[in-house]
Amino acid sequence: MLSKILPEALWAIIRDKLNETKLYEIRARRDSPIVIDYAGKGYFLSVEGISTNEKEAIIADEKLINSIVFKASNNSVYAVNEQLKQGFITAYGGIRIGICGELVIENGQIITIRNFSSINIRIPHEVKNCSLPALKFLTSDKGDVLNTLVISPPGAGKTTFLRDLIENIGIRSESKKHNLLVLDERYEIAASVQGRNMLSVGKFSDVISGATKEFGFREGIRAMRPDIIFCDELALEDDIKAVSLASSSGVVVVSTVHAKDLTELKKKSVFKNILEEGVFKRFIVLSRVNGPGTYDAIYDENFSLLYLR
Amino acid sequence: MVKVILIVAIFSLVVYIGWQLKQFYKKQEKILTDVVLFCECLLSNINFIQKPIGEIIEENKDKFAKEFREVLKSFVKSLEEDGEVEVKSRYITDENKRTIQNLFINLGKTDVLNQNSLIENSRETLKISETEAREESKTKGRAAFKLSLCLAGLLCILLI
Repeated sequence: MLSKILPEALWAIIRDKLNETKLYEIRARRDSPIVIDYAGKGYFLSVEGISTNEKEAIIADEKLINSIVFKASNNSVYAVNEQLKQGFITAYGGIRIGICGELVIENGQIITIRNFSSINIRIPHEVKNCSLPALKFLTSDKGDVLNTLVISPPGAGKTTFLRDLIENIGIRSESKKHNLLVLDERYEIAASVQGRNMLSVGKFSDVISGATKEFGFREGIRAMRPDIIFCDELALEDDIKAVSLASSSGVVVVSTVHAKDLTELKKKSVFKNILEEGVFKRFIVLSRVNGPGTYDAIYDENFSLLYLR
Repeated sequence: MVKVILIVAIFSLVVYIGWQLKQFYKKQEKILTDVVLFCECLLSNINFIQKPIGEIIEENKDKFAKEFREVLKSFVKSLEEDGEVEVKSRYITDENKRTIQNLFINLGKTDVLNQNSLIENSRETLKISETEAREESKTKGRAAFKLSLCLAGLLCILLI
C-alpha cells in the first residue's frame, strides 16, 4: 500500500528496515525530521530505520511532500480536490493523508490547498473481530442491534472498531436480510477509491462516501431503505439532528464520537438533548491500553455500567 | 544490364528520398494533431468526470499514432519513477517540445480550473503549429515528392 505513495528511497527503508504492520503514522513537515508512530511509540525515521537521535533523521523537503501528495492522488490532484479542500486525501489501501498548507479562498469558498507544508500519513490496520466480544451488549433480547455510540479519544481505534462492527453485524444479520448503510463522510471507514472499498466493511453494506451526515442520512434513508446506519465522528449540531431524525424513522444508528469517556461526552453541549432523550441505548468507551480497538467500558441508556474491562 | 540496374536503383533512391520527405511532413502534422486531440480528451475527462490521468491515457492511447504513443509511454514512466518527462521526437520543433513538456510536467498537479487553463493554453499553442504543419505537409510534402519524381526521371533520361 505504502509503496504506491512513497518515493522509492523512503519506501525501501520502510520495506527493508521496519515491520510495516507496526507502522501507524508517518509525519513529514517541510524542512524537518520525519517522525513515525511505530508500535505505538514516536521515533525519527532514519536511513537505518528508526532512531531516537534527531541528527540521524531523514529531513522532509518540499519535493518529498509534493511527490507524496501527487502520488496519493493517483497523479491527479484535481480528482481529489474535494477531499483536499477538507485537508485530507484517501489513497490506495485506505491510507489517509492529512495535509496542511495554504488555503486558496475565493468569495469565501475554499478552492484548494497549495504550498503543502506538512502531511500526516495514517496507515489503517484492521483488527479482525475486535468488536465481537462487545456485540452481545449491543443487541436487544430479540437480537436486534441497538442505537450505539462509540466513545473514543483520537487514535484509540474507533474507526477500526466501527469497521469491524459493521462487518460482524453484517455477517450476523445475513439470514435476517438487514440492510446496512455506511456513511463514510471522510473516507475513513470503507476508504472508497473510485467506487471500490479499500477496507472491508463486509458483503452486506452499502457505502455513501464523501457526503455530509445531513445529506447521507436524509437521502440514504430514501434511496437505500437501511435498517442500520453507521457513521463516523458525530460533532456538529446538524449531525445530531440527522441522527435524531433517522432514529425517529425507525432506523438504528451506530456512530462514534471524540471524547475520553462518558463524563467528557456529557459536557459537550451539542449532545445534551440527544443524551437526555435516550436516543442512544448503548455507549462503548474505547482506549489504547491493549492497542487500538480495546474497549474499556459499556454503558446502557441510563449510563449504568454493563461491562468494565 | 548493369546500366538498367543502375538506372532503376537511382530512380528508386531519389523517389524514396522524396517519399521520406513527404512522410516527415505528414508525421509532423500527425503528432501535433494527436497532441491537440489528447488535450481535448484531457479537457472532457478532467472537466466532467475528473478521471485520473493514468486512466485517461490508458483508455485513449490507441487513438494515437506510434510517435505520440511513445511520448505518452515516456510520460507514464516518468510518473512511475518520479523522474522527468522527456519529449523525444525528430518531427517537432524544440518550441513545441517545450510546450508539450510543460504540459506534462504540470499535468495533474493542480485543481480543475488550473488544469483547464494549462491544457487550453497548450492546446491553442499547438493548434497553431498543427495548422502550419498541415499547410507544410500539403505544400512542401507534396512538392518534395513531385520534385523527387521529376529529378528521378531527369536522371534516368540523362543516364539513358
